[in-house]
Amino acid sequence: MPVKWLLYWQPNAGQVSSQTLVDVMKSIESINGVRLGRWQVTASNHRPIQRDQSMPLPPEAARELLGLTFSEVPSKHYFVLRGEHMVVETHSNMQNIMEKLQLYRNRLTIFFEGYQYQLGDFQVKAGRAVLAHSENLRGIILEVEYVPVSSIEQTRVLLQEFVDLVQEVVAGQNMLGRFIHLEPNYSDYNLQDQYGWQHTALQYITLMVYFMSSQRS
Amino acid sequence: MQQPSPALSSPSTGFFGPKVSPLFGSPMEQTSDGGVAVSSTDILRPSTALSRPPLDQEQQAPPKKLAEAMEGLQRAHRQIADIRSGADLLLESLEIAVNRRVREIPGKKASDGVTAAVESMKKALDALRATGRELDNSGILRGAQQRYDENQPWGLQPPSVCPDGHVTPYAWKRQIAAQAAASAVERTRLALKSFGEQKKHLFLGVGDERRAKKLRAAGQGSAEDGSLVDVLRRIQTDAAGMVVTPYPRLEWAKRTSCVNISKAGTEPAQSLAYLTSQAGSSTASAGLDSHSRPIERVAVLEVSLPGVLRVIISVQPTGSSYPDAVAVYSPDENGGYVHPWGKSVHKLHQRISEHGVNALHYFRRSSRSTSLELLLHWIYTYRSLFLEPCKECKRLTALDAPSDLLLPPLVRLYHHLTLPQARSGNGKISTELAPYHVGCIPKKELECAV
Repeated sequence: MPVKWLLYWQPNAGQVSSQTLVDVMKSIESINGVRLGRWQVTASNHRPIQRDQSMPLPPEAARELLGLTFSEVPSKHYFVLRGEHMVVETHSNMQNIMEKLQLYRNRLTIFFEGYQYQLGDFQVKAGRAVLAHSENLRGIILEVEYVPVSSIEQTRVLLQEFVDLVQEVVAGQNMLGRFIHLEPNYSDYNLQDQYGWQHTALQYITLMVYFMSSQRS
Repeated sequence: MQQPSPALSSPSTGFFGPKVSPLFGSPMEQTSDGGVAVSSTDILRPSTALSRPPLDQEQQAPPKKLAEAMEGLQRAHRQIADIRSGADLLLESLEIAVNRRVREIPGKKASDGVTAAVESMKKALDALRATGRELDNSGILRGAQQRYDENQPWGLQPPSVCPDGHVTPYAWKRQIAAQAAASAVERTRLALKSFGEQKKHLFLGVGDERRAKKLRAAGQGSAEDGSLVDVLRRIQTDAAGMVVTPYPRLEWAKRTSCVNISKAGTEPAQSLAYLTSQAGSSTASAGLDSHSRPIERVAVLEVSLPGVLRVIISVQPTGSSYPDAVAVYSPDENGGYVHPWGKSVHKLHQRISEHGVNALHYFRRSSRSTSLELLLHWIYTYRSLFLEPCKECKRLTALDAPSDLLLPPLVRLYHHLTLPQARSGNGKISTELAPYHVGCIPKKELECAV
């Protein structure tokens, strides 16, 4: 699977606005990016339901389930368990099962959505992160991927140079700020050098957690 | 004055009625009518000509148009009947007028009845003219006129019996079927021809094994066999980390057709199997074996630089060490298009493939016997494709202006590549070639290129 890097926009001053996304898309189109279509990722945070407050949760139950669905693989659902250091891939029926079992409740959901562009062997997804049901903009994100190679180590320098190039173009459009790459610790979660959907899931969840914590501060 | 025969003054729904079929079923009835029928065949004839088309066109006209046409024709029938009865009326009134003139009945002018009859006659004729114009505009009369001219105004064409005994209701249907069959035969012939050409291209050398065997039997002996094995063996020691796996051609086709080729993995043990079997049989007596040894069936080499590239080389004729074609792919690609003459999906690999083909031709021209080994060494220098920046511009990626692509340095100049000569046991010998971007190649290197 092609290696992906997830970046978020850090403005120099003030809050992110939707105008940033428009500028980002314009700058991608200025370097002859070809628009391919829309994309969406749904990330949700589940907490266990405790009917009886006095009884503690069983020790092996997860305190927090962070679930993800990608629009490109609708048949799969991913869970990241931070406490247990695991990334789990399940069938998309899992959501139905969880609703019926009533063991976990969905506390909040973030939608990452936007447009996808192709620049030669690179593919770029530009989008925004919004909170479900409130259209509250949490951030602007950019996902860059290099299609031919699957090895994370091999593409590190290449992707870094590409991100620098994008920064230059974006700065040329008079946008003040920069894109930051939050790289999760893959080996912590037992993930190999060969990139896969689990790595992507981990990157998105890390970003979601970051957005939630930055909102509170 | 002719007396209108009572048999003809039928109610308008009878003789000419809305049902068209009696007319077809009984052409004899019309001609057997009496005198008036003869004189009014001018009226009869157009009506039959009018009434014939709908049946033929039933298969063609859409239902609404057909309904309108039928309705128009029925109106025409009624109007013609009106005209006929109007003609009768006219004759009657003329008779009455003559009688009245003779008898001098006061209070009634003789010509009243006549004018009334004339009026109704004129009205009917106008209406008929209008209907006729309407039908003409709707286009159903065209075929009728044609058929009338062809002098077959009534009756279906008799069913045609073809020479093979098949009975078709319409002769033209048979023609169309014959044309369809002819084009199907033509299409099959063209498909067979193109398949034959593709077979020659894709399964190149499938029939060549016999030819190669003959060459070997003619006295060139096991020298050629040995060289491929030697090359494979040398590469394993010289180029650590690069895995070369040989395949017979059909095996390769089977491998690319399975879904997850990268999971299948490349096993060094497989290439060893070819080496040991050869070593075992080299001590056996020379002479033709009843079936070819495994090394002789090797036609495709898969060279894998883990995480970076996969290169597929075709060897021709099978079992020898003359490379024939080379193509570069990503390690994840699998599918029927992954073969030595195919093209990768990614632009980067397409460029490297082109470069590789140039290198292959250069090696074949300059030193034929060691061309495979040179090619493999050249591929081995690509393990730094994504890691080492270009020697000229010191960056890893560069924008390739004409195609607007960001590419890593994919050029490795092959002109001065030599095989490592000294093998005095001092460890790995590495031949490194400087990487360049396509646009960064220094001029003097280009000049000494052949």
